[in-house]
Amino acid sequence: MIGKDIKLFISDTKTLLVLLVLALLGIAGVFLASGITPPTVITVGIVDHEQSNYSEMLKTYFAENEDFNAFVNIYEGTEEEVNARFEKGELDFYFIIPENFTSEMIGMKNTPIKAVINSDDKAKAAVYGALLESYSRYITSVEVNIESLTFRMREEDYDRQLIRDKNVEISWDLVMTALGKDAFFEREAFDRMASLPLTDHYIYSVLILLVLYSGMLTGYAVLLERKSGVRSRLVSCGISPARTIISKVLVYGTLMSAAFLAVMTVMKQFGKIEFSFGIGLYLTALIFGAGIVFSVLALLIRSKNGYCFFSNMAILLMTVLGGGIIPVMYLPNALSGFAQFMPSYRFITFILQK
Amino acid sequence: MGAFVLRLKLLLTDRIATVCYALCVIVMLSVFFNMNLHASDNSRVPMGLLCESESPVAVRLRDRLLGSDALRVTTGSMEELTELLMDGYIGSIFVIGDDYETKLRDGIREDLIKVITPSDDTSSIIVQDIVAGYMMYDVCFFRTYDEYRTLPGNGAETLTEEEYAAFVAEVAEDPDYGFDFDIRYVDIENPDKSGISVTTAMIYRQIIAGLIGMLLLVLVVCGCNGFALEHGQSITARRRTTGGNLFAAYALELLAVLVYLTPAVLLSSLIMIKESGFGGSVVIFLLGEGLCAFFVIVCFALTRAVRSASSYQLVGTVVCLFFGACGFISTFSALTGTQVLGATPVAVYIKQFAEMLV
Repeated sequence: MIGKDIKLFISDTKTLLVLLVLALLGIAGVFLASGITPPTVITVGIVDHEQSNYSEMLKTYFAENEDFNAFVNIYEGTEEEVNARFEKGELDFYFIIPENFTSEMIGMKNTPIKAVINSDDKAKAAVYGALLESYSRYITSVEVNIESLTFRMREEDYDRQLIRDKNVEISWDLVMTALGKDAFFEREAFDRMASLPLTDHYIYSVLILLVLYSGMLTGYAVLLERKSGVRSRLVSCGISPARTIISKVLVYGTLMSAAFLAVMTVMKQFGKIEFSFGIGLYLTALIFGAGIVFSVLALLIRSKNGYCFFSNMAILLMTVLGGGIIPVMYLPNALSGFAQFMPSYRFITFILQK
Repeated sequence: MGAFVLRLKLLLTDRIATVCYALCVIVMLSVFFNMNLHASDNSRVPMGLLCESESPVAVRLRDRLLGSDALRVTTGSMEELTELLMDGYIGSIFVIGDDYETKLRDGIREDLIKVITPSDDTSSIIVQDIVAGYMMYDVCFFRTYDEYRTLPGNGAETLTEEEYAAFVAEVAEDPDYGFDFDIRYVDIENPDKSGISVTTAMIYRQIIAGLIGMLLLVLVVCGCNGFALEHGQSITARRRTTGGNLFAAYALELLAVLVYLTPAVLLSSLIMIKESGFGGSVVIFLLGEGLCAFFVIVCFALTRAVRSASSYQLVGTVVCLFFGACGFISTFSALTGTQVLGATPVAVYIKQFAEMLV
């Protein structure tokens, strides 16, 4: 039986050719995907109508801050110049600092800084909007506390000059504290768990998707054999249906595993993916598991079209629920509970947990 | 019209396939509907929080974080949170130590909170920025109170910390002191969409749109399976011998596949009717039909090219994955630097779908 199935598999040259092309495309895809690097620089425009010592000091701080400069490009100009650049799509967003902004803030007038965000890209705009909202919380905290101190000092009849000096001193201190907020946190890396960049997450998700499709292919072969009457003939020769299915799963599973492991070994050589004996073993188990599940499905669904609909949808559903498209932490609670039964989730957590 | 009716009959009379089709569409769209229903909640950034201190300042920070619109905070013991982190349900654990308040009182502004993240993690920096926003009030309070406390005496009675805190809280409640950026969103490509705020829920809904696009592609691959089977059984060759306008016949048959898939397209366009309105849903329906029409032609071409049904399934799946992946990656083009993929069909579908939601 196994010999027959190996011959059948190898003699289907069209499918083999397609598999080979797909493997090559897969390798090319991984190379391309791993070459994708997030753009590190965003471009921000500033229109400074105030031109005060404060705004100059802040701009100097940012200009001299290496961490900030690593991912933000600042372009300063007149409102017309900045707006013209924005209209050309050269700026991600820009600020307009109003005239007398600082003095009005100290004088308890809230003249808001205008922020204009390019919303062509919704994802980017949403992130900038959320960050600015967070930063407005910083400014409110600084402002409320400074104003409270100023009020209190006035109520207690402190000297005007002292009030002004304290205001300037603490304002600057708190503004710098807000800018150096990263120091609030002591970061500790959790050794037993690695992080996964978005592109790598999708590479592994696609890998599991292909593993599931290899199982679907096994099931399809089982279905075709039954539809063409081969199985009933084998049964009449005394070969049990279970034996024919086991043979298919073994042959398809072994050959598919060999193909997957070979492709992954090649990619590992180029340092594109993480691959170890454990991962290989896990993947092989998944391939055989998928083969068994889809072969059973092929026994239950007698129509070729019906099998294709059902198995395709099952694979898509398993991928979605397993966090293959939206990471599990962002799935609704009602759905994320299913994740632990899904192959893509199990595989990704297996890779991440050390 | 004979070819159209014949193909439609072929599709509908395969009862098992039609039942599977209906069942799968209902299940998948229910899942997407559920995801859309919780889009606002689930688009918040998940984090774990362990508050080791029962001091009022630490408890206040914990409560502020729990009430945050931007964060989805899970509290628990270190063991529980570690398990959630390892299982991928949260991205980081923030630990408010028992000395949090003491440090603030002592004017220490470093290492106030411990952040535990997977090794090499960088995404939690954004969470840190948000958490820092909620810490700033207390940091500023203790800095200014310390200054107030140490002012040279001028005969006036100095407020106690509680009295001073109540005074600051009173000022904070004054609406004049809430600083906000005057944020304006400008859509350069579609100026009529300018001025509408964009939220993180929008990104989530874009991904759901991508999933719907993927679902439609998979349905098209399955819907065209009949062509591959017939081609493999040499029915195409036999049809050629009968003469007649095969091009027109196939065009009608492809139309029949499109009609067969229309209920799925229609249902998928209604998932976000609350956000898009009726007019938007009509446009989304037309977009879905357009995507399916394009892909029906692609799949038909594939059935001619690969000949065997197994090969067609393989190639069709990979083409689906390719277009789907392009769509998803293009959604995050700003974050992944792959703007060029925006011209692919699913990417266009997602973008236009999102336009209907704002």
